[in-house]
Amino acid sequence: MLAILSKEQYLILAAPICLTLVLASADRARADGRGVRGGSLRGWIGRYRTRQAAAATTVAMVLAAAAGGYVLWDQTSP
Amino acid sequence: MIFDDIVNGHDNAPADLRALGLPASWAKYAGHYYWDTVSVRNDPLYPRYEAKLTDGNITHFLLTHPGRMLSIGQQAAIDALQFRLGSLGDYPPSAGHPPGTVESRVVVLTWLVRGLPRGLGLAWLLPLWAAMAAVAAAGLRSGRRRGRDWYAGAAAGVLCMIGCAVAAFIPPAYFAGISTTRHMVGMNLATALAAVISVALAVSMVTRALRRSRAGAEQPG
Repeated sequence: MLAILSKEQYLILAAPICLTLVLASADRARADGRGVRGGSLRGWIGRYRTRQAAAATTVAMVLAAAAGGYVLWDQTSP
Repeated sequence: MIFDDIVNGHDNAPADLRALGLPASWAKYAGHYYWDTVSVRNDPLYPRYEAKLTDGNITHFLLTHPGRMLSIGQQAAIDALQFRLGSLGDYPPSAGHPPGTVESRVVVLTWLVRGLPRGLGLAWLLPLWAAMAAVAAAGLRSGRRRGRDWYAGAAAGVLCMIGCAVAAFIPPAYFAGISTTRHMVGMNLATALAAVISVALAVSMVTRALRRSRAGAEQPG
C-alpha cells in the first residue's frame, strides 16, 4: 500500500501486485485432484472458491480502490 | 518528456510535432525540458496547445511509432543501468563528509551492475526478466509436482517482482522524461529482488535434481 501510494509513478504497481495476490491465493490441493478436478475451467475456478482467495481478492480490491482514489484526487487537484 | 525524448533534435522534429498535433515552430524547443530557461511553457502558443501535452497524446504517439517506443525504451534502460548518479551525494554538508560521498550499503549492487558493458540497456533487462520468469515457471511446476510449497511461493514472488519491474519501467521511460536514472529506482529494486530469489530457486532446483540423479545412479538396476 505504501509503495503504491508513495508516488504517482508507482500507482501502476497496483496492477502486478493485485494480480499476484489473487492468482497466488489459489488452493493448490484442489488443483492436485483432491477436490474439484484441476485441469478443467470449473476446476480452475474451484481453486479460488476458498476463504483465502476471498481474503486475497478483498485486499487486492482495497489496493485497487486506493490507487483509483489517488488517480481521481490527482486529476481533480487544482 | 515530449521535448526531451520525442522531439529531441536528433530526428525529424516537425514530423513528430505534427504527429503530436503541436505547432512545427516548437521544434526550437527540442532538447529543452519543461523547467528549462528556454521552455515551451513561455511560448505564446502554449495556452492554445497545453491540452495536447497529455499522457494520452504521448501514448497515442508511441503506439503509432513503435520504432520510437523501442529507441526511447532503450535510452531509458541505459539510464536505468547507471543505477545511481555520481554527481549526487547522500549526506548534507553538515555531516562532515566530502561532497559527493555516498552511503555505501548498496555499493555492491551498484558495482555489479556498472560492471556490465555500457549501452546494453534493454539487451540486458529483457533477457534477464525472461530468464527469471523461466526459473519461476520451472519453480511453480516443480513445486506442484513435488509438493514443495516454498518453490511456489518463491516463484510467485519472482513473477510479482518482474511484473513490478516492468510496470515501474514504463512511467519514467515513456512519460516522465526527467531524472530517469533516479526515477528507475523502483524498477532496479524490483529486478534485484527478483534476481536474488531466482538464484536461490534455481540453485535449490539444480541441487535437488543432481541429488536425485545421483541417488538414481547408485540404486542397483
